[in-house]
Amino acid sequence: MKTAPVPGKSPGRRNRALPLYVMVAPAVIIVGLFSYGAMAGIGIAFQKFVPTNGLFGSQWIGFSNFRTLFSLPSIWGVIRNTIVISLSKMIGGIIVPVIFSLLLNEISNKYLKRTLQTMVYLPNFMSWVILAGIFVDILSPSTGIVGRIISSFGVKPPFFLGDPKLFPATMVVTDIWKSFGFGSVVYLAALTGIDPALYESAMMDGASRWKQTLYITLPGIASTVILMTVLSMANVLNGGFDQIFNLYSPSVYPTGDILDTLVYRLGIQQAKYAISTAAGLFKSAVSFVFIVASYWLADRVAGYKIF
Amino acid sequence: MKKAVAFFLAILSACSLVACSKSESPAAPAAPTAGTAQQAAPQESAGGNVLDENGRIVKFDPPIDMTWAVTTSAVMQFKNGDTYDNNIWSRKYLEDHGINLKVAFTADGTSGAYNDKLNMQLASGDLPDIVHSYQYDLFKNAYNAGYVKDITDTYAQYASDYLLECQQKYPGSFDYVSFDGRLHGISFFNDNRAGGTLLWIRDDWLENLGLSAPKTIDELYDLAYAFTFNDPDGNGVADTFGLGINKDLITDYTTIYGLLSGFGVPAEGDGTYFRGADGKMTNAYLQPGVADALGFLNKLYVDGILDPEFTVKDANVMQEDIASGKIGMAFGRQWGTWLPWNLVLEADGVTVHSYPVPVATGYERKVGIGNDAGGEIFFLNSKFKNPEAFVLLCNTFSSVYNMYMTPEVSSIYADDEQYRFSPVVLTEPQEPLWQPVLAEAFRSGNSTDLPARLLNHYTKVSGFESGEMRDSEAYGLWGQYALGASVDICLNVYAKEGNLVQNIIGATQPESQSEYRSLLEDLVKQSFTDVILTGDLSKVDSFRSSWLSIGGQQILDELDALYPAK
Repeated sequence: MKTAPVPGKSPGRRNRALPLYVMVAPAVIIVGLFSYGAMAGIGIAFQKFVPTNGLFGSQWIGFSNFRTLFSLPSIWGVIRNTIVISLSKMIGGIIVPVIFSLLLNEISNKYLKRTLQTMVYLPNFMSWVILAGIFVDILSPSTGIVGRIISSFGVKPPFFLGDPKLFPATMVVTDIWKSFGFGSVVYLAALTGIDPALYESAMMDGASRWKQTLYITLPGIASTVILMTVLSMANVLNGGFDQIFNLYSPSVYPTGDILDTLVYRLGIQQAKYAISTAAGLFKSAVSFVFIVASYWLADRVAGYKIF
Repeated sequence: MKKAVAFFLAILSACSLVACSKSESPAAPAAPTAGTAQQAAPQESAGGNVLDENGRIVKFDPPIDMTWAVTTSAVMQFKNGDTYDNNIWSRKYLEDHGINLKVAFTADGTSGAYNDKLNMQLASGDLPDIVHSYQYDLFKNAYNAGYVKDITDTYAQYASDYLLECQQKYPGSFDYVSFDGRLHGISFFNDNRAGGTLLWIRDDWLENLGLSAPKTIDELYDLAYAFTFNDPDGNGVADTFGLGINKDLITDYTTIYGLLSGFGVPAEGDGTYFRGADGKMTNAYLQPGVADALGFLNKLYVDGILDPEFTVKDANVMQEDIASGKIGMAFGRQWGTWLPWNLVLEADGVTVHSYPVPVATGYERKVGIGNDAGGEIFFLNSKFKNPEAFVLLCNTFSSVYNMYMTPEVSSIYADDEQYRFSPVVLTEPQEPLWQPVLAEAFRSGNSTDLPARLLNHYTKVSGFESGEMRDSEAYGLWGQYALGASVDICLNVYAKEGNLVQNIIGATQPESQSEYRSLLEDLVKQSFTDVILTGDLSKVDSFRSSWLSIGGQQILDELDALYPAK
């Protein structure tokens, strides 16, 4: 990333920087309070936690909570589901917005472009609680619009939300539908940052539209794509709790139950905070490994450094 | 689900305020004065105390001091300059019994501050004379530390006829506060007999098809079939289903509890735990009838009688389906006319009736209900010298605060949470207590003898019956209290026929249950759904063995030790 010009070491430097420090202070305080301060709560994962006794009054039991977590009969299936669903969402969540923004970039009508962009951006603002109600309705094989269209071709409509084979794919597709508009905004911004002179000279050299995309546009937004990929790596164990929690049912547990929903049923509903914290810590540890690995990869493969 | 929870809370809070009196003698409304028996012939005794003809103390003279702790709440009001130390109840107790109440401390009940404070007082060995505990654990800890007075003999000697009768009526609630058969306090009275599941059916669908409510599972199948394929709503479109069940099968309403009951499975929540006929601890979902019941549901599913999409519909969606007239029959508890069937009345003006759940050939009906262990506990500090005072307070409280309380008395002693000023509060569960009294009035058509608090119910129910009242309260009460309605069935069919199976888990929960409960619930839901969809009954056996192996056996063993066979 390009660094901002470093302010000169003039005597007035401190005075000029002061407003900046004041502006950044709230963010630092919030991060300190809620990200670093709350880290003390990690201790709960190693305790037989009793809320009335608090963090300091509860008994320390080492890794017992983790053992309980990993001895659950369904845990490995759940971890597999989590990884399958979140990886598919990550990959789809990069490819679809990139393609969409490339296509949108080719539209010359400014108003059409704006309208489309706004329309695909809208679902991002809807909560999964609402969308779940809508999807249950439109994906219903008997009464939903999707089911009716499919059955009008004489094909038996699939039961997207009730069939364990289709459930993960349904989750991935609906999630990408919801979020690709937001993702494409970032890429569209990156596209506008490409110097038009490059296109002009490419055209003079006789490069086709396709060649221009391949040799100018894609390299131009590559760094943004890598940045987004690296950032999304942190979510490798986030299957999307609010989406799945609102759409799943016992009949799709075998393929649809993810770490978060399991922990919710097991930990939060039964007020067993220690197990929930253990699961959260496990997720964070895995994410940390993935982030470090992806930073290293980004540097190695694309010569790109975030810090 | 939120609605259901809110509704349940409303019911619970209503229950907790319920009055308490002799149900068998409705003609003897107690005046708001102290236990009449004891006051019949007061005599002066040598020590100055006022005694009755049996030599029991009626009034302490000089007055004795007694400390207690107030659970405060935001709704509580001080009327006419009352204080915690001087209020309607404290004046009454001082006047009637010479008991001078002193407040040891006050703490907010809703925020948990009261419980925390009480736990602290216990830890420092400084409990008030009368302790009001919301937690069984605190009571038990206090007992183990020797702070709880044995009141068995005092209670037997001093308790009013009414309280002695309660002891007969609610043995579970008295066991709850007893150690080794000795009474160590008193708790809210509990009676879950009205907690069973019933079958609710739309009246108009039955009428349109000229059918009647099913008594056997075969008849249930026929009716469900007709509700699905014979166009019960007469709109010419096949848009109805025979039986409504939700995706979770065993939570919220529209459950399969009732169907399982018909196959001898006392299903309820995560499964009623009880001692089977062989004396061994067992769980409802391990019963042999489960396989047949699921097989039956599979048949309904295959025949298209169940909504093929039931696996994605939770109770909220079921509520919509019921309101929009897609579902005409479902299992539910006695409050069905409050929710969800009130929606049908609102939408189409259609009423429903509840029926005993149908029984399968070769099975006996078994209905699971919660344990009758009590709620909030009141006990006496072992340091206190006059245990009679504690029982006298109980007598007087229950003689004022009961079913016969008139609106005037209620406005003085109970409303605006005035009852909180009394160190002891005793309540009876409402449905099992009120239903027989109301039923008597409906049969005779005479409401003049009815306790004041039930007059409203009488007016509403009879108003709904005659068609004068159509509001939701009238409908709700009618569905519960009319003759032959849900509470009637629970008390006079289920309880009388010995169908009820009470969960053995009362005061103390096995630790393994809180550990494995959600796992086992998941397993039940998942396996049952699987069997209903596939019809593979061999999976029931593997369900049973996994249920036992992932923690169920541990719970059963722990329960075996906690609740030994008698």
